[in-house]
Amino acid sequence: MIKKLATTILLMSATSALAVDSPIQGQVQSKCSVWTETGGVYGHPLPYKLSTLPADGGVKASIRIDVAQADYYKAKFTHPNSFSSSPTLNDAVAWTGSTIVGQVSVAAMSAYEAAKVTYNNVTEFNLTLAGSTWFTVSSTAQYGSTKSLPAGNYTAIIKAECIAK
Amino acid sequence: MYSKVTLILSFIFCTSLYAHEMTPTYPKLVSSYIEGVSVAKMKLFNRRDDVEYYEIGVFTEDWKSIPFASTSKVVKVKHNKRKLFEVYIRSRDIARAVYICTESKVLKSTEQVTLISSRICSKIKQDQ
Amino acid sequence: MPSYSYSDITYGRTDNVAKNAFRWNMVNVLPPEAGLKVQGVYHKYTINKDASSDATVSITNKNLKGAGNIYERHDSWNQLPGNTKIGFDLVRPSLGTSWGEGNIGVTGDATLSDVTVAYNYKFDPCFVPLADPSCPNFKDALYKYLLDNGLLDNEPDVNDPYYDSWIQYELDRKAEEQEEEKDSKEKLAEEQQEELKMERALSVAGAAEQIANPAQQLRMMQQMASAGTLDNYYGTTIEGGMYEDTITLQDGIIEDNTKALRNLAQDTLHRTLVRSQYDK
Repeated sequence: MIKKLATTILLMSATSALAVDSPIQGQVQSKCSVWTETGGVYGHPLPYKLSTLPADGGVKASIRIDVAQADYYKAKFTHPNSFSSSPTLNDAVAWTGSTIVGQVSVAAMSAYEAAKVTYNNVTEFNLTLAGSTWFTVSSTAQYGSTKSLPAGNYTAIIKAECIAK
Repeated sequence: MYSKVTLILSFIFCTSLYAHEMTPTYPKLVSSYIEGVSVAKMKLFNRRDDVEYYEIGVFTEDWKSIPFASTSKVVKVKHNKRKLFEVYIRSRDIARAVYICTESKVLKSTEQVTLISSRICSKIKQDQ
Repeated sequence: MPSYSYSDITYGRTDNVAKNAFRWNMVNVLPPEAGLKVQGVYHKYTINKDASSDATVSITNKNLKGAGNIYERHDSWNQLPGNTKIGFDLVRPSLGTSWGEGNIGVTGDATLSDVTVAYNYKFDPCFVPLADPSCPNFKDALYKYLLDNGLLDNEPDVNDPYYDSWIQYELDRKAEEQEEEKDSKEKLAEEQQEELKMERALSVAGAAEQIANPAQQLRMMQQMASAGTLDNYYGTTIEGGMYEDTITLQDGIIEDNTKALRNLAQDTLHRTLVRSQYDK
């Protein structure tokens, strides 16, 4: 009898369960993602000129930077000031370029444009807001004064950086 | 009249997106199994299908290189893959080390040459 | 806009609702599917303004099932230069019939251009089972419809939306009945065939019933046990006699096997040697 009671008690205690809250925990990690939307295309409007401007038959490069948390990163764009590979050039090449804020996912990101810092061929933006920001980079190369660029393959690199503050 | 110039360009009117990510933003240097050397653990995620190689670098505040050790200075990370790697820095260089960066690298032999090089830098958390 | 489906749910996005005007009626932009729910709002616009001026862009949708707006978004562009903004708002899925007139507008010293507003939605094509014969509960729903409208045994009007379905239903029903009748006939034929086989195997074709009958069995045994048949069998005499030996053994002299004797002598020696180990 006692054995039966003990068994029953054990079974009952085994089937009863305590409800415990099991929270699912997660953490949004701060991170920066650099997305290449458009690599850019050089147009060749003149024999001595290469340009990414649409008016010159080119396409500007578009880079998107996503930031998960505000004010953790700054973005730095370096437009080309030399060809990374090209045929032998006997004359100097004059480079110009710029980086501007394109589309934004938060209205206040428009303020990045006014607050950007430009030096040499570098443009820096302070990413004070979380979200996505598109940046448009344009580049122009002019060979000599009006010398024709020799035939061959030309490559120029735009550098997009995301640096933790 | 005009010289023929062949331009190698990539992603004409490209609608695909390619990304490069690296975490943590503020890595912490901890003691490694080697005396006098600290280590930071990093994670790199490659969403660029045009790039498979990334170069690791450690820099000062003024962007001067600092010697460091890792399994490989240039890591290979395939498209949509993550890679965990460790960066070993000498204890005497810790005070100067500020940034750990990964920069995309393109093979010279490849015909497809990207126009955009991406670099992401994390800032080493310094103990106060 | 192309849509895709996963499982039974279909997802999609409307075209740009602000293509022609900054005010639109949701009835004209959402698909008419019953049970459709809106679950997200996409927007993209360019605001043209001076950095020193103030402006606010608002996107709203009236709530048809209650007061106020079912969706609203306000972007402040105060003291900011003009730019292009992209965004997507996830909303708790709500019936499309609750979404009223939509509108995008700007207040302040600014203008809008290149505006795109689109709605993400989802719906179950079988929300009304009668919508599609491939829906899981279509037949039950059709049966109920016919029952509710007293059309089970009456032909509906040819203009009834479900007239064709009723015809199909009747044809299906007839086909099912014929199928069942055919099945039962085949089953009967099979059973008979099986019985015939059994009877043949027992070689008593046509007499199966008689075998099963106990009284009949007794009579058969009695017939079988009749003296004329069995007595001869039990009365058979087997002739006996004596069985003489056929094999005789010829006597002779058995020579000694010297080889064996030699072996025996060796065996004795062997035994002595072995025993010497145990003897003192």
